[in-house]
Amino acid sequence: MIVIPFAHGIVGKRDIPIPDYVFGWAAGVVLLLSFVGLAVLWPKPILQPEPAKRLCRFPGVLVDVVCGAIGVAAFVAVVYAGFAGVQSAEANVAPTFVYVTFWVGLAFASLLFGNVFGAFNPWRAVARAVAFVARSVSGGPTPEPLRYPPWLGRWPAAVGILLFAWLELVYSSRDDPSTLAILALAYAAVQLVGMSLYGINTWTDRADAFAVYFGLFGRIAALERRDDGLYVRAPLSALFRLDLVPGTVALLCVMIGSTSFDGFSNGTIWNDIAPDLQKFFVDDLGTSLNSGLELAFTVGLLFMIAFVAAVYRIGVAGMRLYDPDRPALVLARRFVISLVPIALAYVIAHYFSLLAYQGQGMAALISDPLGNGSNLLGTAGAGIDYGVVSASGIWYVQVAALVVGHVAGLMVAHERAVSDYPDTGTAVRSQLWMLGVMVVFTSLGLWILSAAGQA
Amino acid sequence: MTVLAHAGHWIEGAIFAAPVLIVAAALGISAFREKRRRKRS
Repeated sequence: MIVIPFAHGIVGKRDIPIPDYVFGWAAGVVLLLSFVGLAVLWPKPILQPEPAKRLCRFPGVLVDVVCGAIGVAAFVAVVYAGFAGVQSAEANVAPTFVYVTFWVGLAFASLLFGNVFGAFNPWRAVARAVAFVARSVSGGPTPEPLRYPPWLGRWPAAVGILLFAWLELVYSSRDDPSTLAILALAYAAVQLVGMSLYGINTWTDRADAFAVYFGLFGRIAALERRDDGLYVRAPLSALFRLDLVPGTVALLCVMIGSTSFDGFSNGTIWNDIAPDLQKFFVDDLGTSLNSGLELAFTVGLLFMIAFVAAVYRIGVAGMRLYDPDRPALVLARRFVISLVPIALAYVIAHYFSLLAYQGQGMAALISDPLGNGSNLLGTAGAGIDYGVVSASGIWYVQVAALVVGHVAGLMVAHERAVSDYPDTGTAVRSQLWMLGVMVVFTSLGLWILSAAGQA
Repeated sequence: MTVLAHAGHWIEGAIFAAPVLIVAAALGISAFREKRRRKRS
């Protein structure tokens, strides 16, 4: 049996001819030039009303059934492996599937192919199958779902992503296969109850944390599956169709803040602070060493999310100078779609190495999913080729992802501004503050990645 | 104390913040001018 090390973002020593901070400065210049270019060349909305062209026709129901069945089969297989397999993060398929294939791989797939998870979502597939059977048996429509409380918005999704981030970045038993299997079943049960109460589509669009998370990234893509086929559209344009309900700003702050903390927690500064925080919890509050460390990491995670939220709210407060009649909350929601490309850029930058290296481990793990020495597909002996991309190559991908993501964020904010404000001058001046937000997030992202690479 | 004890790491990282400081200064000036313009009008 090949043992594949399970670790977050393995990166070797970089060989870059110029200091890392020069990349940060260059990224700031690129953002400034992009801002000027948008101000001059983009005087009116062009991404709305979202032109789309059908690439090919196919029955959406068939795709839902086939992909849904695959999603359910994968879910059952991973849960079974979690319970029945060897309780080892390296040998059992469950941890790598959850943290690499599902969490990171689907984010990349969403960028390329649109809302992929929407088709494979296993709990949605089960709910739709149950609803179909119920309709067939009763011979009529099923009872109307309850009205989803408007104030609840995407808060359940924000809380769900926060809990998953805590599991991934803080919880000491995060790699334990049976723990992951139990949590996967619990999550699926909550989703099924939610869908039965409030309706499948409403719950999926608002409260299913993973459906909302991957759905947001899918809105960046140029491809979109509709009921009658596959469509191509302008990238980013679907973001303007997002209904800006409560909890959306919080969700984006959790997405960016948790990814930031993942990188930050690998750097020297956090490694200096964490032991002292842990000591405080152990000595002053009497926790165990393990609980003390988990509490320290929880504080770090919440601090980083709060920092991201504070930067965005300062940007919104600055925009209000030019639009004092609109409440800050309304402005924050109107422009929050500009954070979606940034959240994806952070995911790509922070997890590209994890996908490039650890993703290869799936070849061996699907052949021996339980870790008991089987070789179902003949690939159980496959290892990881760490030469597939160099440490320097990873750094260049990280820099490119952050710069492109933030320029895309600027474009989205600019498009929103020129459609919301009566004249281009006001729109551009208000976006100076979003430029500030983008520069902060770009510098923060590169600093975190640079520090993590040197730790 | 922890923060001060590891100031070297913070200062090293602060070099990355140069673009942020420049933009923050520009925004501060912009905000000041906008407020003054509103007062006058």
